[in-house]
Amino acid sequence: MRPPNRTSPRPHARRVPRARAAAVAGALGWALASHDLWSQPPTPAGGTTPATNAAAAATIRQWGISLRDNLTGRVQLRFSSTEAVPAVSGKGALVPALWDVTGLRLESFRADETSDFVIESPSCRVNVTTRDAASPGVFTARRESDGIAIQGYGFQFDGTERRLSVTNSVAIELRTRLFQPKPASP
Amino acid sequence: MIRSVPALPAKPLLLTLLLLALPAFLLPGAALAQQDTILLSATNCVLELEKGVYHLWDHVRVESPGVLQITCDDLRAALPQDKAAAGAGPVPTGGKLQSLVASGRVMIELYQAGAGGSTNVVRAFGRQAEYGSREEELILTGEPRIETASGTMIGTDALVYDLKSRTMRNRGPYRIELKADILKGSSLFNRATNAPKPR
Repeated sequence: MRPPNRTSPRPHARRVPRARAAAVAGALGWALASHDLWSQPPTPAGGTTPATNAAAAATIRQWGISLRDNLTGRVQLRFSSTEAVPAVSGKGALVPALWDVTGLRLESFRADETSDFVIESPSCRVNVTTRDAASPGVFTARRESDGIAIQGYGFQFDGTERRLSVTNSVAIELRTRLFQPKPASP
Repeated sequence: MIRSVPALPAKPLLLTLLLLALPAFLLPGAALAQQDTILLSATNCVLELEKGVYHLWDHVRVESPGVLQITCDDLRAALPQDKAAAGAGPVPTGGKLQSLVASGRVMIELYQAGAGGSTNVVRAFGRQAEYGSREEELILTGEPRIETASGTMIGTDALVYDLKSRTMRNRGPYRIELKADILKGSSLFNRATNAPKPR
């Protein structure tokens, strides 16, 4: 008699049984800890059936990670989400440092660690190594200090350069003056 | 429509007519400075959030509600950075715009409240509009043209609007096309002359 997991229609699930998935998730957790994982302890949510794939087994709720400057040690970016799943390659293997997250909140900090701007997206992919986040869907961004508010569809954020690219549609509201006010006449 | 000869040097009559034709373009400067909300929209953009450099392209629209609207193909804008807090890095101040370059089918619409609650619209066209905070000038180039209810001013090189003095000047030859309606009732061409009276 064939083992139950050999009947799974998903080949990658056969190659990644529960024990191995847990090991991968543990390795990812260790990798994240090296990036200052500050969230609540990971809570694997899947892995209840032999057919469950590795990504589901490694689903983490209340996922979060702070990325620090290598020289100063100051927090530069903080990713958090309601749920994160390790991204799976086309061959079914987990891709290190790549996460598919739900309910992303990405906060960027200035050199003095005060909050700069916040990007939120219902669903996107995060690469914690390259500090990128991207989604073809809706997103919002805002910066409290100057009241800038951005919303659009399809974005890619380069956390190293602090560059936000939008590809489908963008609307930006600026709280600023278009031109310099003329000094009041005496 | 009254057409002047192209590439005319400035003449007193033309300047007089220009003053009649373009006050609507000159006056909104005060309103421009007092608006604090600007809406930008486009299909694509790259925002350098730390540097405060914005690049938008494809169906770009800039709106200062009730004051002006700019549409163009490509827009590059630099927003203010506070260099005083050097240790903490540049921080946006919410102050004035540092620079703005709109290019590709640029159209600028300026709105001004007219008599009886109406709104006067002045439209400026060109291939590029450039604003720099140092010079406080808005420079329209690439077959620049300004249309008002009174007529049209067409430049060959550039039309320059000085935001400090709120005056318009040209760079290179220009011509003005005035609508004949503005001369109705004018005594400009009905003045007495020293020509002998017909017998």
